[in-house]
Amino acid sequence: MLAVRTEGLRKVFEQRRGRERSSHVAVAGIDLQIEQGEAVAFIGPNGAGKSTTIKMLTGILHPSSGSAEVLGLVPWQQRQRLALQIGTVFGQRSQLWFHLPAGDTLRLLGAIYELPTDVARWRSEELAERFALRELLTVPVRKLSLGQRMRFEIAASLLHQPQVLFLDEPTVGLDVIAKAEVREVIREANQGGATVFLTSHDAGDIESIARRAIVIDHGAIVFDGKVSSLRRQWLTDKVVELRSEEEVTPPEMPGVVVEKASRYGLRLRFSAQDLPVRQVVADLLERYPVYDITISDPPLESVIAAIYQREATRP
Amino acid sequence: MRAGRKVWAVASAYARSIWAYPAAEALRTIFLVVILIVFLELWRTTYSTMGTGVLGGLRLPQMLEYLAGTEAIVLSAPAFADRIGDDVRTGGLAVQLTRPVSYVAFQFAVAAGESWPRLLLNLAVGTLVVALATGSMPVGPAGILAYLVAYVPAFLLYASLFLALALTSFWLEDAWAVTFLASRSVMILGGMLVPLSLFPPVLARIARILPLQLMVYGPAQQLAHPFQGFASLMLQEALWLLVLFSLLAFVYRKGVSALHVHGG
Amino acid sequence: MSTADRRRFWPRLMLTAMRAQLAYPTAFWLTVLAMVLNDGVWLAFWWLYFSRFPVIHGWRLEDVAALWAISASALGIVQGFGGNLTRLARLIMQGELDVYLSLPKPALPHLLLSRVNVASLGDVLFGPLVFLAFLHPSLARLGLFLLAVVLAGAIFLAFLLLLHTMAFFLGRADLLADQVTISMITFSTYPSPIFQGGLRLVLFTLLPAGFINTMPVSILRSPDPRFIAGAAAFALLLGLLALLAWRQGLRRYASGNLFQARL
Repeated sequence: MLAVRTEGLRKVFEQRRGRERSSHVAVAGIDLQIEQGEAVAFIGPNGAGKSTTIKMLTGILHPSSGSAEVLGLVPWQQRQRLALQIGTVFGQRSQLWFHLPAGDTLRLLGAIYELPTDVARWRSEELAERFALRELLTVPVRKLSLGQRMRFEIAASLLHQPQVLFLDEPTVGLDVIAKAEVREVIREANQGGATVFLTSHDAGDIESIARRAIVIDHGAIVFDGKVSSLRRQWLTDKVVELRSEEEVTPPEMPGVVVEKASRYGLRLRFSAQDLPVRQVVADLLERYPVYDITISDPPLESVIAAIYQREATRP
Repeated sequence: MRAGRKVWAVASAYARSIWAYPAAEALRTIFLVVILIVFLELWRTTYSTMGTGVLGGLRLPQMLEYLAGTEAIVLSAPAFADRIGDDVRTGGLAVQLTRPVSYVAFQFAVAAGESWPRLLLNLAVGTLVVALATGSMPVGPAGILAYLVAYVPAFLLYASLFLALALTSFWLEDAWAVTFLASRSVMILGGMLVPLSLFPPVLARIARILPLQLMVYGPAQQLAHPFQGFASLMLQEALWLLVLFSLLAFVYRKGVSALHVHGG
Repeated sequence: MSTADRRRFWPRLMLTAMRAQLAYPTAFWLTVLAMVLNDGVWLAFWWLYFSRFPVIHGWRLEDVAALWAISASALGIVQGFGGNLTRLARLIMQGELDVYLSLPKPALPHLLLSRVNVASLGDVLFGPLVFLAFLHPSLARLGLFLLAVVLAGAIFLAFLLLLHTMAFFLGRADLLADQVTISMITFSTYPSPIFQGGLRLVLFTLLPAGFINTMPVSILRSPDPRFIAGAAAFALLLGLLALLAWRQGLRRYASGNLFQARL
């Protein structure tokens, strides 16, 4: 059984302002197949349809047309049954009780998921231990830092050992350390067998958690493949770093951009579509007494920036 | 003078921000219409049950216009407690205090910008409802002028008292309960529901000593009896304004020093 | 999963909602007290009124006190323990149903019971207090009082629910819902005989406060089985309509998507 399967899943928001009616296509018919145990990142600029898709897959929104199954269930028709088997974190919305200790929310969630009392207690303690939250179980949520709160959100979503985790921007607003902690926690859940479906703008999240990336733009899937091949395919750019045995002067080569130059080192960038890698490297080897050279794909960050820019430059 | 300009700028900005949503403002008058219909039915029944044309010196249309006048004031009253409570809880107050306008003056300006346009709308809608229901214009231009003139010091009295009460959120977690109770006192002792002239004598005497009636009963009474006892009303308003303003200044100073002790 | 495990959720939810408010005990009790005094102010108004005009259309101070006892108890229980009821339109608009829709419990009761409205707990105290202090309680009258509270509560609940679910269909329905709510409450707290003619028709249909403001006479003073059956049937019909609107509304729920740009 697939964890997630959709066919032509589509969502149109109808809006009425006075007598004017307008409609906005948020998700324009997408087909998805996600195996159990996969870790998938859903990438796209704001308004591309990421959250809308997640909300349809969790049964919060009804689609305008198309079909979807999550763990064999139709989310919007079998919402409560599905909810027993999935975990959700919406980075922008908390399910913790703000004025109460997080431990109280976990206990209530134990009842919500119909866990026997001792199992719920045991799971809460285990999760608190694993996420280094044990001492914070009795502290009112309003007194926790954002990172601590987000770890509790994720702990709360894991309480009932869900088979699929839907995470909508789980690291939004966190500092570097908190981000690393949250990623670690998600990775562990994935290693424990849970399918992870994650949206994020953060290249670090995507690289450290997901193996597969799906890029969505204007409600349609424009890329579906490995995170590593996203880097290769989306930007055909290559980055060359070289160290020379003698002092270098930056080269003037058509189509090659000097990103950084130091006394003995250079970082260059070019499009592999326009210039064959072999030609650029041969040229460089000829110009400089090369001591070391590496050729790599551009960092994921610039890939994401390129995806978002594509959005901005479209009419 | 420059401070005066700033206050004016703040007030007019708030007034404009309210009128940016005319539909929302129109919706807010639904309750005014409803309560006037209820009062209309209540007092129509009362006048006919008593078999009299005049109660407490007011004929039925005047009674209803009086109530339209009191409701217009109370329903346009500024919401200090919510705003200041938020400022104190979120620490936004510290930011406010660094502005080059006195915090109190700023709050008064915001309140005026919020309340005055609403008062005019409420009075217009209320008078219209009364006129339609009774088939005659219940008030003349003199009554409206006297009401509006008396309203200005009445508003300042109301704002001073409620701002002082809202500032107790420096000490209490929430000033809601305190200001809520004060607003209920205004409803009864201020004459919002029943004019003071219909109070049992003892209660009427108590109510007349207190400043609450100057905030509501005083101006609203002018709608029915334009410029009657007007000088004495204005004098009382001025005197109480001194008292309540001193109270406000005192609470504010105490509050700010309490804030510094807590470290904001 | 035994049924016991299933059932322990609802009381635990209510307890949690109560404890969330008790996190600030001073504010909690001040608010409750303020509401009791507020209701007292209204009774004081009626005392003032009836000290001048002893009877209107057969109603005395005692009948108005009964009306306040019934409506404060009913509204207090519904709004107090269903603290999200009068915020529902806003929650729908802002997409705050997401959390409840992603949890495996019926979303509507889960949502309603997730917040205690402290001020309304003052009403819950005030209503029974007035009944016990001024309305000559006997076992039979207590039974009638409870019946009136249950019926009035059912009408309030169903009406407010139907009203607030309009947010699914109208978009910005929050201000309208606020105004209609306060209008419903106002009409519910004034003696029924002052409203005549077309207004009376409205009060038994569109704005069903008429059912509530006749209860001191038609249930407490001289119980009328036809009225009781009628009120119960009306509450049931309104309740079914509200549930239908909720179910249809969920299909159109936009999770805040429509309003992000405008607020």
